[in-house]
Amino acid sequence: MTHMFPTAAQTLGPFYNYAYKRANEHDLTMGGKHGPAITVTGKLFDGEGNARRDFLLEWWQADASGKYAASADAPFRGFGRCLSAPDGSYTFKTIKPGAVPFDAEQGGNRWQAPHAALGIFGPGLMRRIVTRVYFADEDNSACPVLGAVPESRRGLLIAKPDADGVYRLDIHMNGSDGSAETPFFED
Amino acid sequence: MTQYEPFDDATQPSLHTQNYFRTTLTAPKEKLIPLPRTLTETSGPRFGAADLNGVGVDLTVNNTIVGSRMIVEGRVLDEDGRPVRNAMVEMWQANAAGKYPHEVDSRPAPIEKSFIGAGRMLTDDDGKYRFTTIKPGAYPVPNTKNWWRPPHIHFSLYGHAFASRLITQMFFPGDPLNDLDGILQAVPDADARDRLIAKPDESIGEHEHSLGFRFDLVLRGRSETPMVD
Repeated sequence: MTHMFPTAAQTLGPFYNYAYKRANEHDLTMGGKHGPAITVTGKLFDGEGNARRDFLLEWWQADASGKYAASADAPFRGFGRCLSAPDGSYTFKTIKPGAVPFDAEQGGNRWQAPHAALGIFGPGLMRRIVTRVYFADEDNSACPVLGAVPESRRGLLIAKPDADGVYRLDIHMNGSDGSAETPFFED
Repeated sequence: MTQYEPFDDATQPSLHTQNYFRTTLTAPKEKLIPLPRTLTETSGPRFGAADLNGVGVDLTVNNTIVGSRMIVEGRVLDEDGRPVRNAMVEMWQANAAGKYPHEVDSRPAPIEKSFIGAGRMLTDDDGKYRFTTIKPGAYPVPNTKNWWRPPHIHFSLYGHAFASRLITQMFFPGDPLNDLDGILQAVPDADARDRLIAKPDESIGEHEHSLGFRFDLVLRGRSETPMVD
């Protein structure tokens, strides 16, 4: 069979269309009760320490039992997206995902700690950049993916709940300003 | 089982490109961390008709929008050439004057209040999508000497996996700005650049109504195991 190359990516650009935005796109809890609701929020920064607007953040996670939705009719769909606000902030409302098998398809029995995949598009990004969000109040010690991140940088992927139970995680796309750059994975 | 192999870097733009000044502040400096494909990456959001949410496939608003009217049609395929069904396709663009309906686009150029400039659709069983619009205009990139983006349409596609997500741009054949565009030219491979350029197709346009362009897209994912050299 002939192999076709995937189409080349191009930047989102600065003018992503507001017509797409629905009030609830960042809210994964719509359509039923799937677990206690949590909020994850933070700011997105560039290499000069500027908070950046109009970046598209996409959130993908398993349900509370660690299963990914396989159809548009799934009770919990696991997907949300958010355009960063003029102050650079993003917010997702969701539930805690369960732990997800790591190598079950290869016959293994290792597990990934509860997490969400986070994809980011925006002006100045020619391709998507991909990271993950973990949770400080889960046992992250045995996650093979987190374990692939240098130990000194792992904490940069772990959202911490504040006094109100809101999880906070800032994202630094580029550490030129001396900030601790968020670890990103190969896409 | 569908495989999601790493991209061939010649066919994709580099995160750090000399052609596009903004990348120096946004693309990660640190080396990307290798990530094995897990269930997280091989699964992905699925969409249905309820997600179209009233955003339609006719941007000309019953022929009231100024510009060369055209129909864009194409197929969404995987790396084996198989149709990707029920892929959500979104597009957005400037108007014929190169002006986006966006609050950050402050350039003095005519706007049309009724031009939403966006469409959303699902591919059919053949992987096909189709929408009606007007040809967008070129526009200058702020804070550059005089770089004008060639006319282009933004595409956003969701396949069936987080790993098959794609955002790209469609360009027009023969436009002299294509060869000068730092964003299109950031794709190293000439054939890969050429695949971002739509092909005129008389069978798509409608008589005395619209031009027609064909633009097929390929999402990551293949069923066969790639050959190892």
